[in-house]
Amino acid sequence: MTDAAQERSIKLLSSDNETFQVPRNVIRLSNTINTLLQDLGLDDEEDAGDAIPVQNVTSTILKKVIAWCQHHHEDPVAADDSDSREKRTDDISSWDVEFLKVDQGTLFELILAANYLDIKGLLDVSCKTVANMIKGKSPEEIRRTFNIKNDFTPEEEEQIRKENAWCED
Amino acid sequence: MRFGTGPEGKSQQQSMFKALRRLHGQNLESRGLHDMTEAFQQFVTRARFFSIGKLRRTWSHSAAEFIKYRRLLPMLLADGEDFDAGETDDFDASIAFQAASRDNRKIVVSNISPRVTQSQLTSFFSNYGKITNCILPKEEKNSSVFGTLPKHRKNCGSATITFKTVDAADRARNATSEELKFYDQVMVVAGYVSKKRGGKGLVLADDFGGGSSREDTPLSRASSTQSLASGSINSEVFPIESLPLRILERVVSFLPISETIRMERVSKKYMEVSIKSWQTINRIVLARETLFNKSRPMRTSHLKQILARSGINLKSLDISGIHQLFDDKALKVIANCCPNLVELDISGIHANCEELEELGESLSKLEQLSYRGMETTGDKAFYFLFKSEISKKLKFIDLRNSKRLHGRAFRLFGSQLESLYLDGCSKVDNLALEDLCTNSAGLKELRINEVYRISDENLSMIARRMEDLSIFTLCGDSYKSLTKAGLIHISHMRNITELALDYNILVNDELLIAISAGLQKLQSLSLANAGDDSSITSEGLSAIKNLSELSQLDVSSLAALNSEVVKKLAELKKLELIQMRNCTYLADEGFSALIGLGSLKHVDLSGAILISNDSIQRFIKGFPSGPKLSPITLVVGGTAADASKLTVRGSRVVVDFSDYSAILQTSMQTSQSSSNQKGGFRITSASDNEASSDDEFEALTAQRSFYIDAVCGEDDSPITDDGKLAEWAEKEARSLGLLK
Repeated sequence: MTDAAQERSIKLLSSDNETFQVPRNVIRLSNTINTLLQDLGLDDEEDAGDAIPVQNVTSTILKKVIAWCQHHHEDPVAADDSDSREKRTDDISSWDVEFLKVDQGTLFELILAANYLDIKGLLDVSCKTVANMIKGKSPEEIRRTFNIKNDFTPEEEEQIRKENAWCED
Repeated sequence: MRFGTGPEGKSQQQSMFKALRRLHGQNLESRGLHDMTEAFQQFVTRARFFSIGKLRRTWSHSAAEFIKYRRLLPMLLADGEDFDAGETDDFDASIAFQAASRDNRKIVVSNISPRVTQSQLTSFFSNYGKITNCILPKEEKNSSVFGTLPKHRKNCGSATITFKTVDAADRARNATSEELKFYDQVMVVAGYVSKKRGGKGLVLADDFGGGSSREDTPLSRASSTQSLASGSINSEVFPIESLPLRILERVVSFLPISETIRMERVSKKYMEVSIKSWQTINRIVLARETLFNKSRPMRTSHLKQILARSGINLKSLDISGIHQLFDDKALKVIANCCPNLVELDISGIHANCEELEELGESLSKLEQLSYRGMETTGDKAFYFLFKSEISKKLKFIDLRNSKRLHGRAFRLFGSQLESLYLDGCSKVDNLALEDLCTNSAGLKELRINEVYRISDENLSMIARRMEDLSIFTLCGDSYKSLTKAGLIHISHMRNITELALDYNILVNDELLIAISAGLQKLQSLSLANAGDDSSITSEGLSAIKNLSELSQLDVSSLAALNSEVVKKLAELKKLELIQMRNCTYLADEGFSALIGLGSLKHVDLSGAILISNDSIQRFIKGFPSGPKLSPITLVVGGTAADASKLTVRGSRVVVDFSDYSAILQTSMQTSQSSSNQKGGFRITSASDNEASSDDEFEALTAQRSFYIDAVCGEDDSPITDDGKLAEWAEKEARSLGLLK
């Protein structure tokens, strides 16, 4: 890709009709947009053309998503398939920790947006953040914290508890 | 050895006695200072032993240690202060105590690279202000209950640091992520919340301006999250129920194993989510799980429960280094549950021939196998493990420290084999090595430290047949069938990029000159303690300057290394890491020559007694900090450095005051095990993993260990054996309560 192509910007249209100009190499983190541009053959065109509608994502959230991509677009791409890496939750960078200090609703929307736009890095850190909320809790505490209904019969629950007794503290 | 008699001198004495008690556990106060002189004399005796012992130091080396000892006294005093600073001694600090509560001066740092030591961390954060306390705990998970494999203990990845002032803590809290980059990992700094306060739940909101913020950090432990749960009547609830199933699975997949299984009990939906989440997990390292410990060792039934859920998707499984009480079914469980494994580490799991054979037969996709430290496993068992087709697929085999391995199984290995680790397998014979040269000529990495039965012919054959060999290590000091002339064959291994010959007495000038001329691709060369004082001279060492690709160099404990040599070595523009531990003839002048090297990342001068503040300060100034420049660690323990007179502001140099020279082997081993399969500098030491490598022990600074030497020296006989020396040192440390 030439420098000119890298500096090309893409227009994104949020669900509430706000347009965002994003450099092409920043938004490359979104697999959804990448595929879209390639499939439509828009990648080679000089003119950015019409804005790409991003349904389901409001301007507030899209702004945050773009900010995340701005900060991370120069990160080295994981060489191997990162699924083969160990799964852990204690490796969130300090920038991301700050970035995700948002209210629960925004975090929820961010996860959905990252999922829709297929931005793996953002999806991972936000999922890790949620996993950290679950960590260290007993099943009862998890239910209470997240208002989850227990649909096991007492007998069923007792049986599972017995089987998995070894992994309770 | 008299101290002042005024009030000041008295308090000095007292704090010294405090330190002594801590070191020795013996009340020296009642016996007065005479013990010090007695200790000193014992030290002299010991130093003599050292010089004719395994370190092979010259007399002048031991003279150097006297100087060290003399410098030890003020250090002992400093030691006493260290322990109490901020508590009672320091008037300023006690005022600060009243003005601001302790917690405000504390920060919690997480995501710390496993390579960072407590001392390095302290030095790193002293950029923000004076530190009164820094605690970086080690992970409490290690060898199996059989104690077969002492392993390097990593730090926990998070530390608590107490600053002297609130301002400094605030500065550290507000540091940018760029500033917090250390060893290519960005550390995370957060405020400290004591468990007591966390329990009340509501204090959190005041501290962090929002009930949810605390929960968002990865630092939240059970205490804080629970408190939020109980106080969550007002705060909003994360709408976890509305997340699509696929995302829920992803969330659950990030939980530790036990917690993922615990999710099954929440509700039917979560049971399904939990079970499905295993599909995304390809790699499990059981030693990371905190569920199993000494009092609760892992059993075969647990392994079965975990692998029944995850096994089918697993590509990599590591069950080494856990506390376990496996029975003879454990390997069977792995064989049955995990048919897709590519990578397996079963070090420390004892098994008989049949089980090993079955394991080998079942794992048809296996490419990497580690079975380390199996000291009691016989050659036959290894033969059965490799008997099946498995040996024709394996690319990586690690059998280090298998004392009874002769290597009859080596003829089964195929040409696809790329890496073979045999360090410490002292029974492996020249026949086995011949088999290797015939069948596995494609080897790229061969580590045969302490494979003492290797012969000149073997080495010549390796040089001729293994044309792709890129990493070769031959450390150790008792090669019976090797000669100096035979060792020259190494200089014919043209494609070598990494070479380690630590402790190898056969190394001489002739070899160094031949290597420097022949191995033009060499990037890493380790010669610590190699040769002896007459066989390696400055002429041979200076030849190293011809290796223009060299980026890592270890010339520790080489008496021939002086300032003139270092000046010549400064021509190696690609040099990133240089270790010069115990180089007692290296002076300021030579060290300063390194300032011009732009790619430098790590310099170790431990025990280089001639180095003074002068050149250290010049070095620090020579590397100003700047954007995108990585920090340089400079280890100066055991030099004449004076911490209080050094300033590191505006420089990218991080100063580490530990002295690794006294416990050279131990620390080298650590880096060996930590850089196991990754890139990194592999400093392979002569001693095998038998000698315990304990970070805590390693972290002992020289003044302490030398003092222990002096005070606790048993006067019977000099210790000549490496293993025994480490064992003895550990025993001493244990009896002093420095080790648990």
